[in-house]
Amino acid sequence: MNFLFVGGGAAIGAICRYDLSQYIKRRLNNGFPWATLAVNLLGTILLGILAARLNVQANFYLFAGIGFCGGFTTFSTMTYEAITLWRQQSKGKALIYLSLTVVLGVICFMTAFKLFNV
Amino acid sequence: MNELWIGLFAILGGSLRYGLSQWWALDTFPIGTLAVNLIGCFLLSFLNQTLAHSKRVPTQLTLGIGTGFIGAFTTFSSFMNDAVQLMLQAQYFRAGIYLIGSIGLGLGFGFIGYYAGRYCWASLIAQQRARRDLAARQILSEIAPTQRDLKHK
Repeated sequence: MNFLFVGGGAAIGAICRYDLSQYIKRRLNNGFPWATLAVNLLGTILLGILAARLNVQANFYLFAGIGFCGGFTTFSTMTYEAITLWRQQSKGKALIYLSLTVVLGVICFMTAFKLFNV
Repeated sequence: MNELWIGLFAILGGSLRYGLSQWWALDTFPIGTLAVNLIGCFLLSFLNQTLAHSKRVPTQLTLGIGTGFIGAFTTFSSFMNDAVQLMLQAQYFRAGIYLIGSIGLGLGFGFIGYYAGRYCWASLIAQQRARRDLAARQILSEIAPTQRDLKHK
């Protein structure tokens, strides 16, 4: 039963990630992976709120937290984009991309978690 | 239409991540998320250097596996959740190791997948080319004598 919640959430999350990143890429196409950065930060904020507020409702957390947020955000695409930047543009840009994502991610999660943890 | 494939494969990816992280869980270190993310980094790089190059494999399948399955299998939000929970427990050293380790090993696994994929794809292409050349030579050797015969006649 748990797998049903996680799987359903992941499917919706992955479709939202695809559509949103296609939209951002159309708007902002300058060689830097802004789309994945935006998607990852959005998903991180959402999980921060969920982890702070809705830990009690297990099934909803499975669906929205582990399923949707987990499927919405992605680690593999981020790494692959960093490798592409590393090979095609510069190593510095790849490392800036990775550290920017991680630092902003920690800040976003911490802020969301603290703000909603009452 | 792409969305349908991505969604279907994402159900698999998300469920597999959940199952793996339930199965391999430690109280002291978020090993499950780390393992899932590293496997995903290797697989995506490998896929993008092999299947994505193939003209026979439909783009929707590559998109389904890459964006759907591997994208939903790996996760950034849980990665952040794990790191911040470690920080809130004042385990800054472990949090630092986890953050830097995930990124560093992720890059490492990604590069291994990248070069492994390139190697596999290149050898596959070379094999195909060798087979085609052999077949062409056989056809030529069958045709060429008859042409020579025709000229002499």
